[in-house]
Amino acid sequence: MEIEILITSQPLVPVKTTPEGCGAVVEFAGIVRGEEDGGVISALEYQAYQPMAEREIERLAREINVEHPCGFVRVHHRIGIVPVGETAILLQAASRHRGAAFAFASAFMDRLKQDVPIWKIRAIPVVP
Amino acid sequence: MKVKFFSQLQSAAGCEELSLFVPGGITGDELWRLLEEKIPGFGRYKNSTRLARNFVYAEPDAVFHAGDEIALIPPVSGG
Repeated sequence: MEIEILITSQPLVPVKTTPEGCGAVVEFAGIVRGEEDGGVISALEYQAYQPMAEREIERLAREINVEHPCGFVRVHHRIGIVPVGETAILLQAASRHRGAAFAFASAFMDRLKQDVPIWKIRAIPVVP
Repeated sequence: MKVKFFSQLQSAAGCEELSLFVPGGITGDELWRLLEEKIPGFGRYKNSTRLARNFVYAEPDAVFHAGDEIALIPPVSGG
């Protein structure tokens, strides 16, 4: 499996993926909502322990790939201030058939939220 | 050894990292005792925090040495 990992403070740009031999591409985008804990917000701020986050993303992807084999996985996570409506995480999983790609994407997001050292450190409220 | 803090632990510690002099190896419990001595009240985060050594989650019985980069990992919330 090929893995592309990017942790960046720059806006995430959608990338077209058509890996050879893969007939299914599942894409998940996590978008910052306009509310957090019942309050209206303008942005979230993310922090990462970047070298470890990159290693954990790769470790999890390879672990999940054993059960749900994919030919290619792309994980881009934004850090710093991410305004409402913009993408905080972009996941693409490509496999021969749709079942593995769907299962990979779901399992990966669950594990990312348990193990990858990235945090929402601040919700920035809307200034009235 | 270098000890790094993230998220709410950074605010609690008042810094991004600390350097600790440890002549031999120390366990996780000993590390928490040292941190509590330097930052009174910090021990309240122990039960919700995982330790990582050199970018990998540490086993509960891990021993940390001079030269290690230790990170205190509070509950994560990426995505």
